[in-house]
This record gives sequence, C-alpha cells and structure tokens, in this order.
Amino acid sequence: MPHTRSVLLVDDSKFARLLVRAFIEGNFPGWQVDEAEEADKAQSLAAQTQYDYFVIDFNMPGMNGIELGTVLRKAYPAARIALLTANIQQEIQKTVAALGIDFLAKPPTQEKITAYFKAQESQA
Amino acid sequence: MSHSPTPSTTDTICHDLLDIADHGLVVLGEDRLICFWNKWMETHSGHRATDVLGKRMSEIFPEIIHGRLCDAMRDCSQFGMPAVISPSLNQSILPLRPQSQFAATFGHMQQSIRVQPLSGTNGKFRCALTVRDVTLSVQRDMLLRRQAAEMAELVTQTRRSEGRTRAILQNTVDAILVASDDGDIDPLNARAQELCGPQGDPEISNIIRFLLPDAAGTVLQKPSPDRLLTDLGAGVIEIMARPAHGPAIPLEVAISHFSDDGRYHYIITLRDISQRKRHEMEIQHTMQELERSNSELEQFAYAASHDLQEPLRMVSSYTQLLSRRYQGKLDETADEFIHYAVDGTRRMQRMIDDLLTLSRVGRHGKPFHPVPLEKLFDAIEANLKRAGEAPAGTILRSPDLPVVKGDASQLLLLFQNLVSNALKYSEPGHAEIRIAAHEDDQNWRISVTDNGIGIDPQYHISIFEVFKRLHGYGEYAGTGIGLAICKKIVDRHGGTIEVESQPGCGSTFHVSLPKELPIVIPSESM
Amino acid sequence: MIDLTDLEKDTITELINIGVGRAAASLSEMVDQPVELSVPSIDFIARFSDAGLIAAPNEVVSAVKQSFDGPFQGDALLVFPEKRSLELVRRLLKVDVPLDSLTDLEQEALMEVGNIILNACLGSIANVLGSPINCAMPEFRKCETRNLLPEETGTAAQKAPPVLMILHVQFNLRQDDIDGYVLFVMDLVSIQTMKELVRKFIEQTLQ
Repeated sequence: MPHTRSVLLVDDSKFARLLVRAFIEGNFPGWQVDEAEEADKAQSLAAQTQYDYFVIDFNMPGMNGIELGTVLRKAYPAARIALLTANIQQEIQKTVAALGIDFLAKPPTQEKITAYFKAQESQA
Repeated sequence: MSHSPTPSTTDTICHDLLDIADHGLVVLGEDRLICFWNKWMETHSGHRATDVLGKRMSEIFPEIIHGRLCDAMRDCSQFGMPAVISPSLNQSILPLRPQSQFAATFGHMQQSIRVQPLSGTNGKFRCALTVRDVTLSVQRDMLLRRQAAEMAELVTQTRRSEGRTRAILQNTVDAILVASDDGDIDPLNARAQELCGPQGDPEISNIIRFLLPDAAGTVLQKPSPDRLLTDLGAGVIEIMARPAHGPAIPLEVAISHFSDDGRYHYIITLRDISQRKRHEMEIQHTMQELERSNSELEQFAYAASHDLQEPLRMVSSYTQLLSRRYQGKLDETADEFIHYAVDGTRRMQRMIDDLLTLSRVGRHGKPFHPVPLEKLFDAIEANLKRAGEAPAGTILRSPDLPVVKGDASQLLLLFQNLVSNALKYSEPGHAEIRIAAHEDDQNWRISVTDNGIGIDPQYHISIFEVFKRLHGYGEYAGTGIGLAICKKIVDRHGGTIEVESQPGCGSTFHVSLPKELPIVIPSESM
Repeated sequence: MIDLTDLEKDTITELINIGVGRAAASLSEMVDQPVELSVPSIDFIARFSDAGLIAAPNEVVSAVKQSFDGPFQGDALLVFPEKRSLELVRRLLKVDVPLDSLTDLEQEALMEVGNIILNACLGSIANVLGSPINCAMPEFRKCETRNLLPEETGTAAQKAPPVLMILHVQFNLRQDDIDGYVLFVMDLVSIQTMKELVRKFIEQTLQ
C-alpha cells in the first residue's frame, strides 16, 4: 500500500467495531483506525482528524447512519463514506447512493471489507 | 405419480392418503430438488408429478425466483427454519388455478403455505411444503371489508345529512317541539328551548297539552283567555307567552303529526307573531281613528246644515217676501238685487239639502234588501217627469235589468242622480240615456250612458269629490255634491263607480255592485 | 446467574440486529414500502415480572410464538399490545377498511411477520454460532400479558425458573413507530450454552 489511511468507525456495537477494525488492521497495516459509538462523538473526532474513510452503522441511538452520513458528506467532501447495514432494501440503497455514500451489507466479513477498501484505493 | 413405490402396505396407504389430501403437498430433497408431488398439486398446477420430480421449484414456476417462497425454502433447507407464508402479505404465491367458482374474481388461487423442515443428514434438511387453498376466505374477507366500507360510508352520509337537518332545525326562527302520545313535550330546537324553558314560559307546555287533539283522557283546565287568544276551532290558534323576562309574545300555533315506532307524535310549531299583531293593532287603531273622524265630520255636516237651515229659511222667507211685495215698486236695480238674493238663497237651500243627504248616507243607512232595478228606474222616470226634467222616450233601458241587493232608497238616489246628471249635461231635446246591465262572477255592472258634452279624462276621478264642479254656476244647475253622494252610496254597498268619457262624445258611468254582500263594507267617507 | 460480559451482550445484540435488518429488508420487499426494524436493547432477567416492559399485566397482547431446540432450547415470542399489532398488520397490508378485530387472514399475516422476525433472530444466532437450531412452526396467541408464560406461576417449584432475554423491537413504518418486544424464554442450561457459544464466536472472529 502506497499510503497509510485514517478510518473512523461509527457503530453502537462494540463487537461490530472490533470486527471491522480487525479486518482493516489485518489487511492494511499502518492504517489509523478510530472508533465512535454514536454520532456526536464521531463529529467531534472528525473535527480533530482529517479522516479518509468513515464507516457508519445505520441503526444507532440518536442520529442514524444516513443523517450522520449527510452531515459528514457536506463537511468533508473529499472523504469516502460507507454505510454498513443489514437493511438492504432498495429505498435505503437509493437514498444512500444519492448522497454519494457507499453501501456495505452486514454482517461485515473479511472478504467484503477488504474488497471495499482495495477497490477504493485502486481508484484513488 | 409418486416416487419409488414400495411393497409395504403401510407405505401404500401413506401414499394414497397423501394423494387424497385436500392440500398441496410437495417435498424437496436435501439437494432442493422436488421428490414428492401429490395429486392435489397435479390437479391445481397442471403439472404431473412425473414432469416435475427431480426438478427445482423455480424451474416449474419461474415467477417465484427472488420471492419470499424461495428465501423460505432456502432457509428451511440450509438452517431448518420453518416458514408461514400468508396470502395477505404475498399475492398468489404459486401460479395455481383457482376453483371454477372463483375464476371470475381471482386469476390465481389464493394460498397459505407452510414450509417445514424434515430432518435429513449432514446437517441438511428436507423441506416440506403444505399448500392450502384459502380463496374462499380471501373472498369473504374482501366482501366483509366492502360491506364495512359501505356501512361506514352510509354512516358518514347519514351523519352528514343528520347534521344538516339538525342545523336547519336549530336555526329555524320558529320554535319547534314534538309531543308524543304519552303527553311528553320536548323542545326540538334552540328557539323552543328558549321559549318553553325556565327562562321562557313553562306554562306554554300546558297550553300545548290542552291544544293537542287527544290529551290522553286527562281533564285539562282550559287556559285563560289572556293566554289562549283565539277560540278553538277558529282554524288559527294564537296564544300568549309570558316569558320570565321581557314582554309577552303572541304566538301562532300550528300542529301537525306523524307516526313513528307505532306511536303517534305531534309536531308543534310556534311562530312569533308580535310583528303581525303590532301591524294589526296599528291598522285597527287607524281604522278607529278614521271612523271617529268620519263620524265627527258627518255629525258636523249634519249639524251645520241642519242649524244653517233655520237662519237660511228666515233669509229665504224675507227675500221672497221682498220679491213679492216690492217687485216693480222700487227701481229696476232694486228688482235685480232682490232677484239675485232670492236665487242665492234657493241655491244655498239646495246645497244644504244635498249636504244633509250626503251625511245621511252614512248615518241613516237602511238594511239591504233585493231591489228590482226595473221598478227602481220606473220610479226614477216618474220622479223626473214630475220635476219636468225628462221628456218621455229619452231614457232607453235594456230589457233585462236585474234585481240587486242594497238600500232601495239610496240606490234610487244613486241612479236618479246619474240619470239627472246625464240629462243635465246633454243638449236639450236630443238627450238620449241608455241604461244597461252586465254581470260577471261576482258583480252586477250597471251603466248609464249619455250623448252629452262628455268629461275630460283629467277630471274622471275628481268629479266624485265633494264640491268639485267642472262648470260655472251659470251653465249647469247643481251643487257639486251629487256625484259625491253617488260615490258614497256605492262605497256603502261595497261596489265601485267609475266614468268612461271623452269631451263631446258622451259619458258612461259604470256602477259595480257585488252580487253577494261583502263581509266588511269599507269605511264610509264623505 | 447471568454473567455475560458487555462484549458478549453487545455481540448478541449486533447479531440479532443483523438478523432483523435482513428481516426488515425482506418485509419491505413483500409489502412494497420501506420498513425499518431495529433492536436497540437486550436485557436478561430472572423473572418475567421484573421486566420493565411488562408494565401492564392485564394488557391484551398478540403474540407469535416459535419454539426452538438445539444446542440451547426454549421459546421465542414476538409480542405486541393488541392495538399495536392491528396497527402494524394494517399498515403493512395497507388496509383501507379496518375491521374491529384481527381477521383470520390478518392473524396469519401477523404470524408471518412474527415468523420472519423470529427466524431472523434465531437464524442469525444459529448461523453465526455455527450450530443449527430446530424451530417449530409459529403459533399465534392472544392473551393478557401476565398469562404469556403460565408456567412461571404454577410449577416454579419443580423446575428451575426460566431465564428471559428481552429484546425491544421497534418498527418504523411510514414515519410511525410501532413498538413491541421479543422474548426468549430459556432455561439456565441453555443460556449458559449460548453464552459459551458466543464467547467462542468472539474468540474465533477476533482471533
């Protein structure tokens, strides 16, 4: 990998965060992975660090994933944002696509997560 | 039809049972290929078992791919998850033929499907599908909902129209009450509550109860005359409400009835007639005023003319005496003066006589009797002849003059005046008077036509007023009261008098007299 | 008695959320409208009466029950107050003319909704834990809340009382939330087995 990247994981499930972190760290050594359990913390972290990637859960207490995604998309137009959700219905996929946010189906697996980041990096 | 026949009797029975089942039964093997397909499925899908065994469901029914059934079969085969597939959440899951009686409404059979795991080997499952035909239930449900919708619509409509009716009722200015045959009287609208409630006049209910045709056999006290204003049976019922506050309100009561629930109900409408009563009072008052002033005038005219007669007779007597004794004894001028004085007193005498007559029309009227006009005109002609006014043959009468009702002496005066006038204003020697009669439904119309000088239309109305002469004293003799007397007589008989004339073309006076006497004869006037 | 670590509890919640997310997607496709479904919280309690959710014991509820059997066994129930269940089914079915109570067809539809959600919960646990669970066909029950688990009152002495896992379930349909809950009624042995399987799963996944 030519660059090291920074990723912010936003998910109220610690297990989900651990899982995604493990996949990223296993395949992209040296990347910075931060975690937030809800939207407020995510925004304050984002204000301090310029993240290359946001991976956001859909169902969260407070702001949901799409609402947070919308805010982050505006604030950080250069960042890549992915919504991670088990709810794979068309309606949500369309909304997400219209916002310029990527869509990742839950559960996160080693293959899915690795493939996503590899595809993004090769585009960059 | 079924797979791998076995010699076992029990197995044969089982197969037969599955074939006669009233459900569709399909079993998928661990490889998810169809391994059982009962007779019911053959009948309703149109696919024979021999054609489908060993195939996938999605090969037989391509439309189910990506559907709920496919997911359920996958979850069942892989994880042993059972599934309920309901007709409401999944429209026509498998393209099965409906029974013929539903074919018109339903393109496909409505189904309820169960997907159940049958234990297999290696953690894999066989998968059993049970298909039930629930088209009848779905149809019933639709029917039930349609009925419910219709009912709801009906309720809404009824409510709306009820609301409108209530609004109309509430906003009606009349008070409306309903009385049932047990004597309960309920106010139906706001005005009724106001009028009959504690702040109004609770006594009204008792008066209404008295007015209802069958007051349930109870003896009710007749309301006092200051409450019940009209006699019963008069057609219109008027009562007087005396509210706790404010002035008394005269009410007109209308009662109608209807039957409901086998019971008789009365609808009572109370209309505030204060305004009408006030007008009636005003009219009555004006009439009384008028009558009083008329009678005062008559009294005055009578008294004046009567009292004037005495000194006039004196003046008349002495001027006549002067004329007789000193005619030709003084100078010519004195003779002329005496002549004027005598003539003046004579004219004044006639005017006073006429004024007395006029005042007597109202004061000394006689009861009405049938009056044959033939005889009347005979008398008139005789009178005129005696006075030397009418040469014989100048009065032409229609042959069929009727008998009218009236005061004979007044009618004589009336027509004598008209004939006399006609003669007066005609060329002496050529006068021709025609008397004719016509009738319509209600009136006799008697006309008196002459060939005299005629009357300018501008005077057609004023000639009937007192002292309206059209001509100077010299030309035609008269007091100016004659036609006023005629008018007054006609008025008293409830009729009309009018003139039709052009100058130089003669005149026709039409007198209309009602065949039946009117109930109220218009107030007499001078 | 129920000594799950936060991570274990969180893992179960996440697994179940993945399951119900899938269930929402398939419901959404079936009823052709967006359906959101989430399980914000999971609680373990020893007695049914301890559950804060059961505030009104006399409230009539509709329940879809599925028994399961496998490495751990018990009953799973999806419970809605009756009014909410009517509302849920009618929103899903886009019913224009509601009738007074659940019709047979509506009841079956509710049963299917329960089936999909309970399968998702059970399936995602079974799937991730690598052990199949045998599930029975769903059953429909309408009763007062206190009668949901009749065995708790009567035969408590003979058997160890069951342990309850309560999942709060939230439906969002056309901007309106309809809340219900899923009850997992298991015995202590089953819950320990589940805990063990979860622990192993976390270990394997995170190496």
